[in-house]
Amino acid sequence: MLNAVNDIMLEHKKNYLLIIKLAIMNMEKQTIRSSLGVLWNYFHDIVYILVFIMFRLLISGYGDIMGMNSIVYLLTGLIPWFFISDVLNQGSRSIKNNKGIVQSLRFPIVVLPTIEVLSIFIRRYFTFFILLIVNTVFGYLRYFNIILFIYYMICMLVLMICMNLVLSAFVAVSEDFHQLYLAIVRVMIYSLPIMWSFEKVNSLVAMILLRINPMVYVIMGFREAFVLGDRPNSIYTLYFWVSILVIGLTGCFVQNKLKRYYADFV
Amino acid sequence: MEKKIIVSNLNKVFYIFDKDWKVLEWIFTKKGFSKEQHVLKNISFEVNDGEVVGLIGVNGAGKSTLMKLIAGITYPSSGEIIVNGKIGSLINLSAGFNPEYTGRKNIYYKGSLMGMSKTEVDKIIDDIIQFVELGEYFDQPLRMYSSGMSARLGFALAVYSEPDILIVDEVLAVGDKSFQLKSKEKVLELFRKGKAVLFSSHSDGLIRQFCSRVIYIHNGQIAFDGNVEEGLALYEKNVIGKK
Repeated sequence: MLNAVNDIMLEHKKNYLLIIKLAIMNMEKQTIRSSLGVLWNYFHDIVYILVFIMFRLLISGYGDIMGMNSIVYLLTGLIPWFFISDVLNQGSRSIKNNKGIVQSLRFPIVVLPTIEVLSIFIRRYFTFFILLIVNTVFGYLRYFNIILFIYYMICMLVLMICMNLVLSAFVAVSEDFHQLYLAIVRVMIYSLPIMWSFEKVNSLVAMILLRINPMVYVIMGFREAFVLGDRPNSIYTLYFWVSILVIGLTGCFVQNKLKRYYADFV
Repeated sequence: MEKKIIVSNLNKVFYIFDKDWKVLEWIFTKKGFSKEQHVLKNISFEVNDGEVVGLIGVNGAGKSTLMKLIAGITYPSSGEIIVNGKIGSLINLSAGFNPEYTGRKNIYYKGSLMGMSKTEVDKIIDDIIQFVELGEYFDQPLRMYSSGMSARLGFALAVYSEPDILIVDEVLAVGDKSFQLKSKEKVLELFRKGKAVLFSSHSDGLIRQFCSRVIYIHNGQIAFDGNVEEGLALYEKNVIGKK
């Protein structure tokens, strides 16, 4: 097990320049053809955000949630979710979709998932500025806590890199898993406190069950960083990092096991 | 003479799964596959510096698998492969290219996939431009190219990246007549420079023209290793004998 972690880490360390270079190139790849390039991504986001705001207002009206404006509440959850959902959807296909590289080039395949996460991160980074602008408009800018923000950014990145190690491996070798997984991802947004809040959850069991997914930690964390400003709950923080450890170990184990077989299976 | 490729007791097994999700079971338990397919059995041979070795055998005999193993694309199930030097593999030439990038950018992109730095590509880009003869297409997106044109790019990049060992899998029939001649010449030039070459082809003519030795692979085993004419004769005899 430790060998696997060591191998995967070493592979990343050895190729870190390649990872950064390819992450930047990958980012351009999707947008190079359109005249607006990466701006299209932000356009998509803005349309998406507007639809969500509209529904939020239609269903629950304009009001406060957990002491903050409901639109600000929605966006502080939605914008990290954009990144997470991109990794879940595109990142997980990073090995499957690079058949050409996997089957015909001598290439450290285990770094492909990380390259994809980083390129999504670079592309998505800007959406956090949208959030800052909205917060400024609503007068919440003075609550912005940069240290918490950086901390949760790191949490999010580490979580998604670890998760993507597991997911990209499974998706690459099993189409059954891929289909099942796509169905789960589609409903996942409703299990996260993006459109609803924990204020309304009364049962302790439900409270715990809903927090099992470590993404909840990140999404709630960004609310702390942008508005609420509380330090992270120590028990939940411990749970989060233990879960990262488990996911990361699983990821290294699976990748290490499969790296010799990708060319045969994909 | 330095040995460039040393293959000893090489075995390759493919796992066949009758149900897709059983792969997941296999990752954790090593069980779940329905069949083991032995594609290569006990392969041992050496290739010296300056030797051009032809690989012959029917489709599915294991030639491509063997080449991929030596190129480091896939891994052996048991046995050892030692490669002394940089490998240039002419396997599936257009792999790794991105259709949206221009020819020029693709050379840099695939170059970095192959582990080359920007300055290394800078050094050879002019030679490549001259060699591929794509004219203004070179700065247009790859999706505008015909399949022959993108194969030219792949070929040029592989041969100009200055490999010590060249692995050529059935790709000399790339592009039009003039480019075929040119690529043959280029490969011959590399041969003359004393690179070790592993060359698979179904054309007896090419094998006779290029190779100093053949390895005949039959059902995943080496059936013959040695003189070109004897190897080709044995191959022919076996194929006709089957009919």
